[in-house]
Amino acid sequence: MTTTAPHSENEFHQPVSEETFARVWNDPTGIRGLLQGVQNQPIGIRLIGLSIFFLILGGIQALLMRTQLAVPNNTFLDPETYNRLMTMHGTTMMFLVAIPMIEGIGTLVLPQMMGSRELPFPRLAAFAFWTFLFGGLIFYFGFFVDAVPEGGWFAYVPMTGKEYSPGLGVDFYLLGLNVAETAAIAGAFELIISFFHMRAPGMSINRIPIFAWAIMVTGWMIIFAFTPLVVGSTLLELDRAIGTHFFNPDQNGDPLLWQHIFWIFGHPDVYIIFIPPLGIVATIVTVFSRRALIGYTFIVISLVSLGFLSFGLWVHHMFATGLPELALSFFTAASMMIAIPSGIQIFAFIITIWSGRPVFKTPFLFAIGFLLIFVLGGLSGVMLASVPVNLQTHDTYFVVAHFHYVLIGGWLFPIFAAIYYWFPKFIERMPNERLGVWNFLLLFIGFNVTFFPMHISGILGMPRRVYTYQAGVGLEPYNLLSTIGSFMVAASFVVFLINMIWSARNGQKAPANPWNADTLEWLPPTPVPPYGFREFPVVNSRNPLWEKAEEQVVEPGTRKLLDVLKHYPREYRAQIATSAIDARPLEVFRVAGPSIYPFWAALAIAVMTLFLVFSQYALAGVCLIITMFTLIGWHRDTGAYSKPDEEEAFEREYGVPLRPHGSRVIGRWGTILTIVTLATALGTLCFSYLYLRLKPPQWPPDGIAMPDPVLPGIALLVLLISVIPMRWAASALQRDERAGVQRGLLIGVVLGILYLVGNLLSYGQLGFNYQTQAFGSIFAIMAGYQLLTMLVIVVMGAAMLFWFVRATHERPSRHQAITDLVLFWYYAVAAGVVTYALLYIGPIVI
Amino acid sequence: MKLSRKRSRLLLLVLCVVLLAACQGESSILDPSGEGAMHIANLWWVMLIIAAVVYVQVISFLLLALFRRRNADGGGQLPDTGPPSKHARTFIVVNGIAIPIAILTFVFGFNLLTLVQLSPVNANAQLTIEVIGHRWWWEVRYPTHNIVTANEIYIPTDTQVELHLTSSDVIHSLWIPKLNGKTDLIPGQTNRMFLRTSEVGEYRGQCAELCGIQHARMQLFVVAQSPSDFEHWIEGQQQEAPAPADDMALRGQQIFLGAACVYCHTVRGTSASGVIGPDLTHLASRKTLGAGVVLNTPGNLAGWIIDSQSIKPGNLMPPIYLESDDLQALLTYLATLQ
Repeated sequence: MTTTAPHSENEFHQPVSEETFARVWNDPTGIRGLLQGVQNQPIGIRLIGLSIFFLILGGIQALLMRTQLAVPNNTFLDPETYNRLMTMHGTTMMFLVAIPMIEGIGTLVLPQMMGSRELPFPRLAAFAFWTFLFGGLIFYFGFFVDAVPEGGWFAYVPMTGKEYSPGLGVDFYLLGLNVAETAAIAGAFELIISFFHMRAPGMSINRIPIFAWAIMVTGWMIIFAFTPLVVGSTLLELDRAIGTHFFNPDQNGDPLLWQHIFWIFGHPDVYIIFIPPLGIVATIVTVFSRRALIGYTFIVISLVSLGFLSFGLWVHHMFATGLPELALSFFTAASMMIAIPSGIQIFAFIITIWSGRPVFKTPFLFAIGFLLIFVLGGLSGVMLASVPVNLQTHDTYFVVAHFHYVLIGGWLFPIFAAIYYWFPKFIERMPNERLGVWNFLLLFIGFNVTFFPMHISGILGMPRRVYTYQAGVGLEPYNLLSTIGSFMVAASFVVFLINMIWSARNGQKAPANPWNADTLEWLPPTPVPPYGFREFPVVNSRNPLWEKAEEQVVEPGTRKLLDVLKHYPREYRAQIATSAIDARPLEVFRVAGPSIYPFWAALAIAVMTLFLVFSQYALAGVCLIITMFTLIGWHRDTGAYSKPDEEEAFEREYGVPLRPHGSRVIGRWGTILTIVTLATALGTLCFSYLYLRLKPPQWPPDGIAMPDPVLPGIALLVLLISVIPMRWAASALQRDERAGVQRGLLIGVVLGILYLVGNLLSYGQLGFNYQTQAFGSIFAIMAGYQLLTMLVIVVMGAAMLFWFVRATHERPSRHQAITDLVLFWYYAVAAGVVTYALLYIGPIVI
Repeated sequence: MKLSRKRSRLLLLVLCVVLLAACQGESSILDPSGEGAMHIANLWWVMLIIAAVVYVQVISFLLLALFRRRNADGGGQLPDTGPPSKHARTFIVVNGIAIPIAILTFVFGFNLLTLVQLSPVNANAQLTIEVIGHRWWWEVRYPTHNIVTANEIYIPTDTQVELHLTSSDVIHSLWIPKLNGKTDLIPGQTNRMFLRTSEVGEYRGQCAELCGIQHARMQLFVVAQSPSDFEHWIEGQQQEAPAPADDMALRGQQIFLGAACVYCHTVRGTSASGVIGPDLTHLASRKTLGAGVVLNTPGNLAGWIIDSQSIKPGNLMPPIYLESDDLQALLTYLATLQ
């Protein structure tokens, strides 16, 4: 469309019609739109819908379980079916409901709440949706081949090892969930980067909505918690599939290692599930008390503290396993202490309500429900934190009561609040208020009737995960009550669904801001255009939509920039990146448009996973290669780029760079978060290595030869040297020295290949393999992980070199992705040092 | 204000009544008979009362906040974005930080005290018993007395008993609610657990870690006897199985030794020395079959032998086909294994 590239303000500021502007922002419609669409709004809604679908499945599983438990010695379900349903219920709720819902709401609401048009990586968001869907489907696929896991959502070994769970059920669980967990991590990247760099100008760090803070903290927690689980699940799958011994006590492995890894994930997981709802309640309390939130700073500090502290509690799930008492007491203290940041927020909400003038609409009712229910669950949690009390109540219905209070009170009630709250904005109609009140009442009462008696069943001696219980010890009335309550809860869901469907069709048309809310997502009109904001808003306070006219101050430079962005760029989707603390505009950059490749990539990974479950490794390998090719397609864009002199003119005129190849700031963040994820995985392996070291009296254990450090040591030296040419390449890039870049990359890649070859040769000389006790297994996986990391980076390096050499007409400094590669390279070198230290120096020193 | 106070008091009363009702029970942790369980129950009550008081306080604040009298609302009045009052800040700091720190410090201290009371350091074991978890039954060994039994642990009263716990297959957990907290049985390691009671009686225990299809029906009894009765029991258990006294029993023994039984079971005094299933030397003296699933009666025992799968589906004992005469003889023999 561009005949002459704009060079002056007049040319940039050529006004365009709504239609023209929207054209580049509209995703395709129909099936093509479904498969290729990347916009945050439909993706967010799809994730929420997916979560609700699985929520209903999980709920049906619960109803079946409760029916079986209504009376003792019931024969409604046989023990195998019960154990399967119990496993599916827990797994579905924790992995396929809670996380997609949070990421869905984040995807849908967060950009708009922060004054932004899109997420940083729209195609990654689409990929996350498809991956969640396929992960869930793979996990449920087991039903079709009678391979359903029975080991509980926590899958303790040895019961979930090959010997005691011989079918494929556990494999579907481990591999299917690994896929879903990858989706969660991908989503986390988006949400973190959005928070730091995609806010409206003026939304400085102390003006960011609490919901956004909560999502950001959660994003970090997802990276640090889900990655260990992916690693742990992989270790268990290897034990099952190829006979490694990580968890085999007969071969110096340890079943408790699984428990540690699982709960290092599992405890933060419940805070991942609970923290975004805290942000939702903060939002609801503010709007429906008609009072700006009191205690903003307290709440922010509490959220961040919760994020950190939650990683220090995991052993409270293992108090009965025989660990040393002193260690246990540390975890008691931490588990009790975490009540404080939670409590601070509760009291901040209460005082805000007190200082305000409450409006008792459905979203607010659910927020009140949260307060009433979650606090009770938190208190039973403090009781469980005590080791002596825990030893009586662990693995009983008391715990079942506790976590349903904190999860349903702390997650479900705020989620219903959120759905009712944001319904008018994104579904464009008002939800029915009377049905909403019925939804709330049935759920509140039904929930308490179901779960309060479980405290008592536990006290009376009823353990968890049992398909039936003893008659005549007093458990009958409480179980019957729980079953009755569960049907009330089901009824509340029916009311919810009716309300959603009816209101979407027949509800009153919603105005732009029906609740008179304060945050930016209510600023665009309803229906929300695909780009959200044509004119980026400027923020001057914590409650932007409650600002008085005289408070709205805009710097002239920013005003000029935001005005031109109403009309330009016209050929691709553009967004501003702002600085982390002050939210000053940093760049104008292109966000990705529609593409089918995220769908293909997700599908290829899903099919690969199915092949892995059925041990078809060759076919899985083929799928892996296909996945890598889809990644190439993914990075292509069909939009026309502007010319270099156009970009320079823009920067001169408006003071911020124009980046049609993608944001440098955000690209760098993506690289950093990927490195953090890889490092967390490595950290998990290091933890496992050191933990397994504790088992045998010597290391390597008796009968295993010490691995020879010389050849791998030389290979490591070669790798360390490769840092130098890579640095050359990076600095040559900034100086536009083509030859320097090419030489540096080439030498670096060659040295990398030498490192790989050296290590491969040394593995041939080892006196043990991956099946030689836990020692051999952990050695093999750590060596393999480093090899794989380096291989991928070397291949990336070679590919980038190839493209760089071919692109002779472009200035070298346009290939900024090469600096990202160099950063990955540095990580791989550091990882190589750590791996070498543990694998080769470790046996000598420890 | 009055209304919500009344409401909270009523709530508290209901809570107390309900909980007191929950106290009693054959396996209730709040009806302790053992030393460990008693210490824990005390701590429990302290924590429960504190938790209840805190809950009532928080809810009272909430209800007050929601329903306190406010000035008549001018509908078009803008939301309040003014700075919060000083009292608001104090409210958060006092209720969110100061009071919780005080309460939690107290609770943590009390918890440490109880932990010390329960600690193995303070225990001087007078009797050591080994418990090995199997899929879906408990192997019990008395190393000093050379006794092997299953699904029942006999202990003398007023004696510090130390249990050494491990597993032969997956993770189990031994829980006898009226006596003490639970401890896991983990393959590859030995955990320790202590029992001590002054009350003669039978105490129900159950597996408390998901261990497979029949996790729900893996129970046992701890039988506390006076020291003299316990000695008597020991002597009885130390005997080998007596030789069959009549023809029927003899025939039964021959059937036992000739059938598949000996692959899994041991009867000391005969050649049967299988170790996959429970030791049957004193089968007839046991209260239940199948780890607490059914009472040990001739009818149940017959059913168990012929088709234990219909009583405890998934358990590792296969059905044993026997002609009815043979079954009668076998039952007669098994009844001699007192």
